[in-house]
Amino acid sequence: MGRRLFGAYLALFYAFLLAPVVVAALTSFNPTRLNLFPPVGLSLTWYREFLRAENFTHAFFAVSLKIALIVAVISGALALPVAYALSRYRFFGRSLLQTFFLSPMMVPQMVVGIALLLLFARYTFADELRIVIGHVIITLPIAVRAITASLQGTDPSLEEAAKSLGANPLQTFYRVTVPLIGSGLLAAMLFAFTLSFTDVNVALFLTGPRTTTLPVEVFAYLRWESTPIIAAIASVQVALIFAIAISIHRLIGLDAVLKY
Amino acid sequence: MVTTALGTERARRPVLGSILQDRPHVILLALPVFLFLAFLIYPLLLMFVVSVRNYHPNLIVGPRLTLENYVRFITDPFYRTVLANTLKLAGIVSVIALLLSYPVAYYLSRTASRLKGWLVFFLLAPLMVGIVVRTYGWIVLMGRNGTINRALLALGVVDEPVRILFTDAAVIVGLVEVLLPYMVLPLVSALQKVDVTLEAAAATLGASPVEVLRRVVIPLSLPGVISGVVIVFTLSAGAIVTPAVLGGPRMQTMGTLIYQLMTATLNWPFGSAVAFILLAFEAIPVFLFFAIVSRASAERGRA
Amino acid sequence: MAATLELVEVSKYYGQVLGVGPVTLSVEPGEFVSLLGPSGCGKSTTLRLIAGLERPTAGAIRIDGEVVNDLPAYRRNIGLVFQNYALFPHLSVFDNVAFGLRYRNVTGDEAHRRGGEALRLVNLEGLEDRLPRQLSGGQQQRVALARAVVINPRILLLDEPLSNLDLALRQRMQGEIKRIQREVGITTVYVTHDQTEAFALSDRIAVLFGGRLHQFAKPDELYEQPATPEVADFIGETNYLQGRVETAAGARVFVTDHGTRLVLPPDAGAAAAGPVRLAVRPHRVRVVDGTAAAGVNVFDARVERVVFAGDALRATARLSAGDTIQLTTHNLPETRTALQRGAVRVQIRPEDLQFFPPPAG
Ligand SMILES: Nc1ncnc2c1ncn2[C@@H]1O[C@H](COP(=O)(O)OP(=O)(O)OP(=O)(O)O)[C@@H](O)[C@H]1O
Ligand SMILES: [Mg+2]
Repeated sequence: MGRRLFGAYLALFYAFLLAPVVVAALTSFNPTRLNLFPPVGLSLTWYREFLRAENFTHAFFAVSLKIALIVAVISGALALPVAYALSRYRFFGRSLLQTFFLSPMMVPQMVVGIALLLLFARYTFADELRIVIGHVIITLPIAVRAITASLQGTDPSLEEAAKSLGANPLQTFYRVTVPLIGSGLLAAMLFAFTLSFTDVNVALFLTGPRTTTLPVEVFAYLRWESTPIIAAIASVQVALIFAIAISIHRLIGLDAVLKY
Repeated sequence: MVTTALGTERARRPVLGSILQDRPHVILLALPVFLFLAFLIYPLLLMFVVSVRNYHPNLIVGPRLTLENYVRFITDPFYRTVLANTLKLAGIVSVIALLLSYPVAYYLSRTASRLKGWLVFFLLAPLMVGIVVRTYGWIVLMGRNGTINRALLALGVVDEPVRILFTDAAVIVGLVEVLLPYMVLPLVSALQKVDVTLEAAAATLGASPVEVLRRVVIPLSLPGVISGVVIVFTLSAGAIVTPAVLGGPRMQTMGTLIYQLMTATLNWPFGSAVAFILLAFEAIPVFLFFAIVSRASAERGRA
Repeated sequence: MAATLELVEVSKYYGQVLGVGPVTLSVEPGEFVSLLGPSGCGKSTTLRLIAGLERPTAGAIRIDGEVVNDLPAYRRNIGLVFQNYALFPHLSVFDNVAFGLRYRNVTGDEAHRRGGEALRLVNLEGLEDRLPRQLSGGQQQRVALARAVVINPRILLLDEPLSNLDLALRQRMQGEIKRIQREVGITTVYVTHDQTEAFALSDRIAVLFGGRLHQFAKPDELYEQPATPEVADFIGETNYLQGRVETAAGARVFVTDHGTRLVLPPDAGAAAAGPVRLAVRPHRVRVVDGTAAAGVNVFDARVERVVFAGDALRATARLSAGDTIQLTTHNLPETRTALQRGAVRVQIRPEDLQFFPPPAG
């Protein structure tokens, strides 16, 4: 294949991949009710509409943002000891546990959502907690991967050095391990945040009346109509997510999750 | 005496301290393992139990142990059609995604270009943006007044807007776009493990570039192909948002069917059974690929 | 402060794989002991056992008489210098050195005083605020050393600390390490696979092969009386002569497989009759003046090869009966001409011979 021909193919491939994202964000500047791209004018009407639509702002800020932040913290806090144990100790059943903690990636997210729906029908949990639990389950594998990748890049003898100097395991963990893999931990939490913030497949089954997440709210709206108010929401979300993606890229490289 | 000295030392150690020192992983893993058992494994078992119960209008999950949910699905032609359509859709999406991704994955695994970091970034960033936003983007592009229609009208290809949205094609295009990164990533990591010198070796042995690709690169990257296809097949078979929005209200796939059963019809026993049937069929590409691989290696053995 | 260290029948298995052992040795207060042996023989494992980073599968480790098997690394008060230094990349040189002080409740001015003192000891004043990656290999090595000694450890352990340095720096650092060890007077165990390094530094050397301790002795004893053929092979060069001990006319003699007859040293009486191996160091094979009065074990030899190695000459010679032997002599003009002529007389004095059992198998 000629170099140029392949270059053209590569460009088309990425254009195809990025088109809906770019289109979704730019359509927000339309002055009319129609979803037109390229936009026929430059107006911020739909951003104002978005801020006035209580259901969307509530879903954005009071539900999705809040849940995503909580999920990021919990997921990071759980993934850290898991990644540490799996990459620093050799013990019976280690590879089995490794598979175990990556298993939610093999089960379709929808199934995780349904299974939890049935669980919560039997045992009562607060509405928000239900979604948090679902999101922690689906984000943990990615978080474990990100932290494992950065643990594998640090020398275990640093931890041994700290121990030989008198730091007990906990002190070693906080003074040596955490500072060294800080970037990996942060990246893991950012990953968890975005996955939680954009998830529909799990949240669809777990949302309650006052805890409809943003993607679920948007999905419900899109089934019946679509106006550029969705574009306005999309562009805010795209800006947020791209900022996070760039941070992760700077921290450990987005492809760190590939190396496991 | 050495042994007694050891014995007394060990006896004096506190229990917790000794666990921390000998089995630190137990402490580290205890809570996460418990949470996974409680919120993943147990609910999945519960889902199976529900799927073998009868439907009860008031209780939803009835008391009777039965296989009627599975039997109903298999015997009713409507559900069989939904299943067949879903599998066909997932198969088409997987094949298209594989064909589109392979050259890009090969390039990403071999290039030393400065752009590589950004190419990976732009592969993953859309993934992080999520399906809902991207599906909306496709509405804008494929709608009646969408970009594509207006372009076609302006170019005079058509006289009035054609119907793109709410067709199978729209769903396929949307799913391929949404799932492409999931295909590229495993391909890249498999191709990265294929030693470049093998290709050079094959070339010096007289293999043409096409031959090298066919007899060295593709066979060796098969694990990546398998995992890519399995992921994409699974995700498209279980997709809800893309078929529901781009396919319209009349589009029925296993994903939308299960969603309806669980949240609208509230027939949880049947919904759980359908979900298990879907899970079972998602194993199809795995078997298919192992069959192909083993036949290929058997042929090689004969040659 | 200097402590005694004893290993009693200590062994370590990684699953089925032998790491080291059983090893028994005891180190005197203030002594400098080296662990010497080829790669994979268990040197690092032994060090990690002493440091508490691994738990022995069997046996006891005693420090000042107290069994420390169950004492975790962070309570052993042992200084450890890693092969790759293991400096904390996120901490400055000073914070690296002061790391262990915090866990001994030494803080503030006192920490500054002791940290500064340690850095002075290794000649690194003025680099306190640098990060490890801003230092050269030799400087990093010194920081690692300062960090290990500043905590006043009972024992200092060093795992091939100089192997990443170039030759010149390595020789200078050897001197530095020896000076610091003397100044601090600390019991030290030093791991190396470089015998000249071990010889230059150590009071005693423990030689390990395949996890087993073959000999633990002073350097000269190791050289002159290697306990096993492996030690003899590893420390310097050795000629082996295969043969058997025979009794002829009341005297016991050694007859090689080729037929060379050697008079044995007086104390060889204990050596078993039957097949044995004799070892002799190349530089103990003397080239003697052809006209000199014949002594014991003097043989005619044909020189097959001569190599000039600076102030020494190395030659391969074949004894008249057929045994091949390596010899090393000073590079003196008359010896050189004798060797180049191709025919010499060599003498192997009985007291330079050493007995070993025949190789197994
Ligand atoms: N964590 C481990 N798991 C399994 N085997 C190990 C482990 N650490 C060491 N070994 C094995 O124990 C033996 C001794 O290893 P050790 O690291 O002590 O050797 P060494 O003498 O320090 O070698 P080198 O000079 O190469 O550093 C080797 O056979 C090694 O393969
Ligand atoms: Mg070693």
